[in-house]
Amino acid sequence: MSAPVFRFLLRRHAVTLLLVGMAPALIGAVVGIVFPSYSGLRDTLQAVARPFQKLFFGDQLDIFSVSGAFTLPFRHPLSILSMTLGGAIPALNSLSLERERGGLYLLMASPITRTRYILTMVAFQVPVALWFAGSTLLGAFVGASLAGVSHEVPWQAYGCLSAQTALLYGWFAMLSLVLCVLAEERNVAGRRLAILVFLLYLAAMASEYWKSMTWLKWITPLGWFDVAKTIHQSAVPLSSFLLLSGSALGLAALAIVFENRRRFV
Amino acid sequence: MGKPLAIETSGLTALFSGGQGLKNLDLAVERGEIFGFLGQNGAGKTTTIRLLLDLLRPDAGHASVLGMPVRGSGGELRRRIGFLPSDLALLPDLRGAEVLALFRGLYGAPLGAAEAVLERLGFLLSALRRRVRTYSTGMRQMLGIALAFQHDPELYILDEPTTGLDPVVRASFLQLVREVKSRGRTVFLSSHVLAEIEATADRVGFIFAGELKLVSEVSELRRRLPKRVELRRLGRPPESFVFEGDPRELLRKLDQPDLLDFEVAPASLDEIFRRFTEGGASR
Repeated sequence: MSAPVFRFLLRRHAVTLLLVGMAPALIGAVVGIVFPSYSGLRDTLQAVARPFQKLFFGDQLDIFSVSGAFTLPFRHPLSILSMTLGGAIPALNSLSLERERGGLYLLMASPITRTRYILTMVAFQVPVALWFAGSTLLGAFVGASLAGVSHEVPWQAYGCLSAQTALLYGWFAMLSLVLCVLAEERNVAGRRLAILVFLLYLAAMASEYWKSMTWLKWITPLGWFDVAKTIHQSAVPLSSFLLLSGSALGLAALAIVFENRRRFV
Repeated sequence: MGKPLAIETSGLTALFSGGQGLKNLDLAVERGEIFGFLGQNGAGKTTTIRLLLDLLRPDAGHASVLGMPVRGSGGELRRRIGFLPSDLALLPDLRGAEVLALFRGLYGAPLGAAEAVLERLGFLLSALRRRVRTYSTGMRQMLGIALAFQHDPELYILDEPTTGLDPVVRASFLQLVREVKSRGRTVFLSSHVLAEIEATADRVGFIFAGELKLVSEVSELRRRLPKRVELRRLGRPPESFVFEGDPRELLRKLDQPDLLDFEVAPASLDEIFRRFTEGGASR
């Protein structure tokens, strides 16, 4: 890892990532504000919004219950979007954009190697992943506190969800890194990432909605992040941990290999 | 035994689509010399430099710099090199001071060294607080020069270094180059400005369409260099021709009773290359 490049990444992306990372916390706060009014209408809402819930959040966990409602900061589509965006910003700007406008050429002509540059980008994502994980937990806490039900929330299970959020964020960040290494332009990398994330999200929704498509959850990291199982077990499911962390590490390794295989920086 | 070499390449080749690129480059640059690398735009100068810095992988051949093979020596070799690219793209979102801090950290350069170079070039240090995107081309170039010089490297690879510099800054820069040479450093100076190379270099290499056509001492080159002669004679339209050879022969040619005025200037790079390529390349 290179300390000067790490500081450069921090200086360049800290504010943006802090702001993007606030999204899960805000979602939690909003849920906390509306929860007292909709918890009284739970039965009606369950009946009306069931297909919606099933599509976006599965039917294993009732999002109108205390233990389910405050999982929204972890899995709301906007949270997922913020994680994807947050994970992509450093790679899109400090790799693709700099490659496009020549800044990377000057950096790579310095003593830093391609491998160390990518490793520094990977290392940079560790504290950012922790910030996103913290933000989701903070969102759940703020929401539950605003709703006055924080004592009813299974915090140990939520801690496990938060840990998986860090892994999921890391997965998206590493996917972005690979795509940015492969593309010549930021727009191309961004477009490919958007399509891939959309397909992964579709796969996750389909696996929740149609019983015959449950197998799809194994091809998307959003399927590996099993919220209901985590809440029931109050622990990070081993399969989730292994799949998310293993494939994120694999993607990081691929990014290094592909960057070193590039003929021109 | 000759002097140790700072740069040595054999059969170095990097081809791009359309057959352009660098073909079979055999080059030897001695330590402690200023080597001018001349060529038109697209001749292969920047490709050569990219290969020397391992920023581009060759199709064939071998290069070693400061006694180390370019491939596989990683960052250790580049720490000993000061590099100024031709199409300098500094990180525009950062402030000047942040760019200096980043590269000072990467090269392990002493604090204040880059600022000292900038002061020599006449750069207002207060501008370091501004974002690089607000800089003029000349200011960006000065910042790039400071980055290349701040760690007092053994080898300077400077690609079109005077682009965007005004004459005063250019003179200060050329003075800097002479100073580093006097300290025993090697300078590989790529340019398409013949006068600049003539004023600083010990030897010069001409590259044309990806092939090294000539390597010569600058003193020898001055003697051989074709010159563009422009004449005005009484009652005739202005004439011009390219002259190459013994200067006394030129004086004899000019000694005519109807001569009103004449001007002798170095021939353009185009004309020089045409001469070399038509007249047969010599190495």
